[in-house]
Amino acid sequence: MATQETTQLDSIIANRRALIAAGSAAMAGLAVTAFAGKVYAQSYTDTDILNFALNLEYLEAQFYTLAASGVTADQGPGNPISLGSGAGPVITKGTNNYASCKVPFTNPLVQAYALEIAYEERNHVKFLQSALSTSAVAQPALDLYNSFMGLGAQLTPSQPSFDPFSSDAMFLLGAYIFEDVGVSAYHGGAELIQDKINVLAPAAKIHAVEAYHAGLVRTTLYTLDPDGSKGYLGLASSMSKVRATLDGTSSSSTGTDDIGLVTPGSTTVTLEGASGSYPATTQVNADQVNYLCPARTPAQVLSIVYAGGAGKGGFFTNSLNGTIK
Amino acid sequence: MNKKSNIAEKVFSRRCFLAGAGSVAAATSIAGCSDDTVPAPIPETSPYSDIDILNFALNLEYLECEYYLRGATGAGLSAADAGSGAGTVTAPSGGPVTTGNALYTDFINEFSQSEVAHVRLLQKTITSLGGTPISRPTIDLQTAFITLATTAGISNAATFNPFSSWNNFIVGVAIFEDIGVTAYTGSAPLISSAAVLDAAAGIQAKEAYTGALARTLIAAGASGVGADTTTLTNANLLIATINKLGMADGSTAGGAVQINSGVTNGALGTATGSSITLTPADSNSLAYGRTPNQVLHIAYGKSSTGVYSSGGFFPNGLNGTIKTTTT
Repeated sequence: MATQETTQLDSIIANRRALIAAGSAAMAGLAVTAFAGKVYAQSYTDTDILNFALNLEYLEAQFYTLAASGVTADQGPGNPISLGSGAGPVITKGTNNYASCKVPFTNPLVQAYALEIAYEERNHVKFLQSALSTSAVAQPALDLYNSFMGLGAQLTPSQPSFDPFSSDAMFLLGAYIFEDVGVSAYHGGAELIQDKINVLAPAAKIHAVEAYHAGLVRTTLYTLDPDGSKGYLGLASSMSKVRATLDGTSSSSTGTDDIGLVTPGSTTVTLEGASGSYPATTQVNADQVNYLCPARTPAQVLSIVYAGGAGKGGFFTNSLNGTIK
Repeated sequence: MNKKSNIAEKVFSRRCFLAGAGSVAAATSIAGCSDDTVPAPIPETSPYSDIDILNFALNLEYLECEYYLRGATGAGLSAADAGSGAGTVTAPSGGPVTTGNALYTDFINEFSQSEVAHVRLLQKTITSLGGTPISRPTIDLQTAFITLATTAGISNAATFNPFSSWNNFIVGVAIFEDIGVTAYTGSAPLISSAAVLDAAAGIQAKEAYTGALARTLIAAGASGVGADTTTLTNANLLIATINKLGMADGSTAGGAVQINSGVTNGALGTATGSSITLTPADSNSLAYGRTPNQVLHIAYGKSSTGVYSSGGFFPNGLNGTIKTTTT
């Protein structure tokens, strides 16, 4: 839920991005003077930010471990995680029939991707827990069932029974929901971190890994549906629109912060020719002018993961744990 | 601000997060830390100005741009985008790359456009900060690749031309993006302005998205019955060579991970429990960062040790302040 602080931060970050996009000469003065005081006058500690990230990593670890292996992340093969004291339940289909969540993969590559990403997300949970030590929050209550159906109902075409555990393609769409958001969350969080050496450095590394994951998912959706006829690209693009609507940027003057998967060739780029017209894709989730991947404030991320709920809902039944919620 | 946090003390009492990446000269005690290591002081100021760092990055963006544009159109940057007094570019002929796949051609066009956009964005940003953006330095995409290919021991190294086939081209994409990601990741803690960090993180993520594309397509191409695994083998040989070059500053990992693709036999058993490893990350599943020094060693392609100001992809060195290796 947006607080006054988060609203102020939203404004600062949105304005910074707008200025960078415009290449305005005024940005220099603003970066050095007007913003300097505001950036540091914030209410989030680095502990708050890492715990915010930890909540999201719990969510991803559970989704991917269930999809890849049909067990919860504390049973994850190779590197099971601790969910922390007082951890919340994980709601899945089949009244928490976790084994039924294992995706019936027909594509061994997609299955391998699921296993790899699951392992890496569990590692991220462990890393953040270690960095936070006794300050680490436990996993909050998670919903990996009603949440997906609720988001699916908002898609075009509507998918009120959306089940990311039902097939290779639906799994990739489920992953699509998370990864771009994770990238933008770490990007936005990076600007709030105060300790550059001990906290920003590893956060930047996790940010990169999330972007590799997102890139892997988007590439695979493109290769599985290269002309869009299967509908995967359309659903992914619709999901991007839903996210942009939820976080309030769908009609932003600086552009939406979520780019879907356009049908290959339906967009063109000019490259170095004044009248060049080269067919292109949108494999990268980046604005189509400066090709920067977007950042989201914590409030914007929450608006998406709560799926429009006020202070809770969506993937987080009873809100996140920790300060940023 | 920037006093040691509780997190810092806990971190250093347990493990070292920064082995081989992002370290600055003042914090050399970070290397070789153990559970009993005294936490290193957090430097109050970066050894580099934001303008220096952005110009350093701009050199790499010029390099990527000349590479990708030739893959897309057969020609490089315009004189206007290359800057006044720009250096020459030596490249083998062969672009645009014949992909045989409309989707792959579209990918090349997309990320070529993004690199042109990054060159222009960095130039504008440096100017708006009151600095002077460097022009394109002299770039070599011909001998540099052959030398790397020969050192790596890949097939047909002596005539390796990244524009002669999609398979060759995508390998070049993979190694350039790995370098780009590790360079931006390693530079993040050195940036002073939040606005500049925002833009740099936006570019860092984009490099990783594209790196993932290359790694995914290389691995997929090597999978399945009867697949040709040459491209995957070549990519991994080159990645290993780049790693060795980037092992300055005491790094043992180098900064990138080979692409493991054991899907053909369906065997599980690698560390991740999957038969595949696409993401270049360490045992904590964190990506690697490289110091500017490590990146320069790779760019100049000579050795991981020694003081160099030119070589490899940059026959006359990078332009700007950050251009000489320190060890």
